[in-house]
Order: sequence, then structure tokens, then C-alpha cells
Amino acid sequence: MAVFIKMKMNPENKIIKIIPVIIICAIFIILFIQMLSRAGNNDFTSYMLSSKALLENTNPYNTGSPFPYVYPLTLAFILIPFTLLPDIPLQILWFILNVFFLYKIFEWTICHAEFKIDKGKYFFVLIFLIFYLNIIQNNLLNGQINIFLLFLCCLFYVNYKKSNTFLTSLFLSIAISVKLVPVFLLVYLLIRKEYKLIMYVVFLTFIFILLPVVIIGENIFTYYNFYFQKFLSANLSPALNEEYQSGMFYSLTGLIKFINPVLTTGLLQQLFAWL
Amino acid sequence: MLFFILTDKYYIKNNKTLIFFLYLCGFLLISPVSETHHLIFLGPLIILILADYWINYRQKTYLDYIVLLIVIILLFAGKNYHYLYFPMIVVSMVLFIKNILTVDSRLPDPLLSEVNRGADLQGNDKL
Repeated sequence: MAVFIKMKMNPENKIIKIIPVIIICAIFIILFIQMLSRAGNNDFTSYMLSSKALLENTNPYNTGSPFPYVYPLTLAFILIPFTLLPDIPLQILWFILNVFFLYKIFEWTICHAEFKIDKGKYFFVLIFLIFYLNIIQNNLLNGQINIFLLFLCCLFYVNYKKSNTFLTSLFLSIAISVKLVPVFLLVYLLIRKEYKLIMYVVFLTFIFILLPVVIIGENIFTYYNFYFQKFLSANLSPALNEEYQSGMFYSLTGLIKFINPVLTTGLLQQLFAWL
Repeated sequence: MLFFILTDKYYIKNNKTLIFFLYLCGFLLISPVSETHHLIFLGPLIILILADYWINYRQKTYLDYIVLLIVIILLFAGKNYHYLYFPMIVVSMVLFIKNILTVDSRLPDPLLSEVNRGADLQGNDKL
């Protein structure tokens, strides 16, 4: 009996090896089915609506979607070729792409840390997946852009380590022009005194942000003005009382509000209003 | 931002590029809006923390396991009590700096470095 258990529990046993793979596949199949049930009613639908609006030269920030488009126009511009596809195949394609991005992010992270997980690597992947399922599920079901953004940041890092200046600046500038927050990585470059690289990134970011001008002409300034007024300045104000901005989560403005709500209604509010 | 600059410039002596994964957490802190799906940027950090425990499980103390357990509990509890995500992020960052970034900064001992990089997976317990 003991020999039988030992044989079964041996990590080299093919059955033991294949169990985590089966569970991982089952998890992604369930996520895929869940995503399909939400298709047409998630954030990715909103991105596509904005992309179509950009193509028709109407305001991409005012499509009437319950999930407002809150990024620079670069993302809508990049997604234009996808507008040719019907909605459901598009959602499936986006899901598959996101899973591929996740796989590459995982691989690069382990690879660049020079960790060698030779034995039980599928179990390790499964454990991470179980721990992080809520976050991954949230991204995949909502058709979010964050996994793509993280993929771009990892591409930036991979090329930075290879000292490939062009690709490093290209991927970081695309990432910044898609969702602004990767601008934080300029601090990473600044500390390493990569001034030339920073200049390339800033230059390319402006190019990418203004790239939709080839379709919408001078209306780009009207749309960006709308974007700054309606989303950027509004989201940067700590005076908002939305649930996700009320200090329940983890941003610094949220934290300030959580610790001392008086600050957000007094001094800081005046400061942001002035800004 | 000051925390990132000080950590990068003065605290971490070696392994300067791996700190990149810590910068990804900065996205969460500078973003004006906190949403659960943004936590994906913490993913690489969690992968590395788990991989470190997976490989060096023999070197970890009870305290190390307790801290990891706290991170996991905060991560799961954060689904219902969102304010727990913030301490989870902070503890993860501390764990990453302590277990991964600073380990490389004390690498003069080649024996220790091999163990930390998973040489013991080959079954050769050099210690």
C-alpha cells in the first residue's frame, strides 16, 4: 500500500504532473464561459464603441456606454482594425490574447529573476492562479486593458535589459499613451540617468497621443479638451464621493480621504480646484 | 515616489533591474482611481514572492510563513473588505524587498547565492 501511495505521489509520475494542467485549463474554460456571458456588456465593448466613434469622427468620450472610455485616444486608434470583426469573435480574440499576455508576463518574470522552478512548476502556476484568481477573473471578464498594459511594461523591461534603445522607448511610450500611469516608469529611468531614453519616450508618447489626428483632424483638441475636463480633472479631485475613490481602496488620494476626510474637503480640495 | 527613489538609489545595492517589478506597484499608488482589476500590476511581485518561497522553502522561518499567510489572507479578505488591499500591497512590497532584492545585495557568499537561486532543486544539499 505504501509503495502504491509513493508511486502515485512521485512528482515524476505523469498523472501527478497532468492534474494541475487539467485544473488550470478548467479554470480558464470557466473564465471563458463567464466572459462570453458578459460579452457585449463590459469595458472592452466600451473601447470598441470609442474606436468606432473615432473612425466616424464623433466624440469617443461620449458614446453613451455605461463604462466610459477614460484613456487617451491612442487605445481607440490601435483598436480600429478590430472594429471590422463582429462582437463575439472579437471578445473571444481579446480573451485569448489576454491569456497569452498573462503567460508571457509569467514567463518573463520568472526568467528575469533567474528563478529555476524545475520540479512542480505546473503546481506552482496553479497555486499562483488560485491566489490571484479574483484579480485575473476581474480583468478577463471585464475585458480590461491592464493585462495588455502590463505586457507592454514587461516588453519595455525585457528590451531595456537587452539595451535596445528603440524598442525600449517604443513600448514604454505606447504603454504611457494607452493609459498614462506607466509614466511612473520614467522615475525608474531617471534614477538610472537614462536621459536620452527619457527624451525618446516623451517624444514618442506625444506622437502616439496625437496620432489619431490623421483620422479626426483638428477635432482631436476638442475631444482631448472634453477628456481633460470630464475625466482627468474630475478623477484627480479628492472631493469625489464615488465608492471606489472614497478611501476604500488603495490610491493615495483615497488613503488621504480614508485617514482624514477633512483634508479632502478643505485644503486639498482648494488646491485641486486651483490646479 | 520618495520611497521608490530612496529604495532604488540607496537601499538596494545590487540587482538594480529587478526593482522594476516594485515600480509596477507604483502604478497602483499614483492612479487616482482604485479598482480591483488594477491589482494585476502587483502580479509579477506576487509571482516572485511565491517563487522565492517555492524554491527556498527550507530556508524560510516561521515568521516568513506567517507574513506570507497575512498577505494571502488580506488578498482574499480584500474581495469583501476593499480597504485591506492597501496593507496587502504594503506587506507584499516589504516582503519583496526583504526576501528578493536584499538577498542579492548580500551575495558575497557564493554558496548562499546558489541556494537562493535554486541550486538545491538538483537534490544537492550543499549546506
